[in-house]
Amino acid sequence: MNTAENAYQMYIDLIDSTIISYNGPFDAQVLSVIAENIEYSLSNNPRVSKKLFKIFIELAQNISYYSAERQKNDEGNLYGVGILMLREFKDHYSFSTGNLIEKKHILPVIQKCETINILDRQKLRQYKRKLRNMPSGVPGGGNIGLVQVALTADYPLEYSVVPVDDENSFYILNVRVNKN
Amino acid sequence: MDNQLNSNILDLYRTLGNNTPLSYKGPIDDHILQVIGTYIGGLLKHSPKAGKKVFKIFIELAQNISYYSAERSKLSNNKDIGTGMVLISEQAEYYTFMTGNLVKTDDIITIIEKSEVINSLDREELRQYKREQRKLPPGKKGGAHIGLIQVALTSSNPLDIEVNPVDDEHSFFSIAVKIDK
Amino acid sequence: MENIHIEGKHGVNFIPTVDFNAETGVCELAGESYLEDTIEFYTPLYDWLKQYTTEVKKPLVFNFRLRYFNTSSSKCIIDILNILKRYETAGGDVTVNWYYDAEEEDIEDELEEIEDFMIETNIKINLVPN
Repeated sequence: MNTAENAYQMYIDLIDSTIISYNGPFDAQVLSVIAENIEYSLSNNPRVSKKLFKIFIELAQNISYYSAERQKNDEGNLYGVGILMLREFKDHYSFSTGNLIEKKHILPVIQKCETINILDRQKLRQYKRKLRNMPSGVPGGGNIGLVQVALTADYPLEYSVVPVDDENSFYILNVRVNKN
Repeated sequence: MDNQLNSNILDLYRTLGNNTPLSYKGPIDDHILQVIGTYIGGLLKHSPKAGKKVFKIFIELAQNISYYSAERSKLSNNKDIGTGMVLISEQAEYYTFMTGNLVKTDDIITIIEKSEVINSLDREELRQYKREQRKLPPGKKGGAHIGLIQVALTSSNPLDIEVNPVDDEHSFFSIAVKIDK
Repeated sequence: MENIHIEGKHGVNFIPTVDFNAETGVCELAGESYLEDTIEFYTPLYDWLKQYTTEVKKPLVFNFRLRYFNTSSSKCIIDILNILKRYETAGGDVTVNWYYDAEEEDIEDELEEIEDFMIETNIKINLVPN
């Protein structure tokens, strides 16, 4: 995209309800600024603001670590690239993230989401403890974050995977938090 | 999964394409200026000439949003901050820096006229125009226009302006500026 | 009369470094000026210059060492230059130096801007390559 008309197209995509959207490298500096803006934007509802803050940190770190698209920042460190949107609806907020994942990771990721969604709260907590006790570096460790997201959100995880090319797919995750 | 939610982020992904390394929509405050400024600082290393220009243009256009956008958010210490979009895209020969924000429909004609004037002037005339505008007594609107003149001077390319009506009172104003590498 | 010292910040606000010395009459503005609220920052500097040029009335050397500035800062630079010009017209001894990095990419753009400052304020600015 490179014209003012494209910018309008993006505005249409974001519709009115988008409080914040970001696309780019998810480095620590970006994470802290957006987290701060989320906190302030919703400071009239501390409960929800806290929840969204926790969810944001987990989802953003997932992108930062696991996105198949990577970019070097100023200091030469590699960071995952992805998209994030926070939107407001009548009775809930919705957090969506999107990032590229390699084809071979699709199945484990979907299975993880499915597992999380069938567990009730007690079992989720148990599952979180189990994952936490696994030695670090074991694949899947990052999904403690997803378990935490599910524990914090008020709805099951919503996810989908859209093919992009031979190697990568676009992985979308959506999380909802009630206003009350 | 809720189809509408799904398609929105996918639409956005497709609109951005694979040449938009950074985009942001939300309140444009000092912190965001700093983060995106740092990101552009990274560009400076690969392409110092273009990087410096992108940085200058970014500051002018982003500050215009933070002052003049018709859409406002309340942030820390209840400061009223303009909301809008900023995007950087990269092509083989140039970068494009884009911004978009809501403006009151009443202000639209002035903005379009000013942009047309800017695009019709050569470099010397632009400099003269800037000097004239700078002499005017400080008024918020004037400031925005000097910013636009400076953007045109810095990029040495015409301003690409679009205005799309949103509702009875507001329009979406977008601007794209090319910066040769 | 008190000196002014403000340490510049390259961070949230891009504040320039300010050094105004009432004993030596040397004033410096250095670094980056991309402030949001330029008036609030620059007003005390105008006040200082007005006081110096009406009460101290000794020679004044103003050194600009700015790398970056936005258009609202450029208006403030013009206000400073106008104060200096008034002092000069009233018989004051004023020297204005603009230091620039000759190696910098696109330095022509910056020099063009300084030329515009001179046209607008009628004050002579010495261009000094670093």
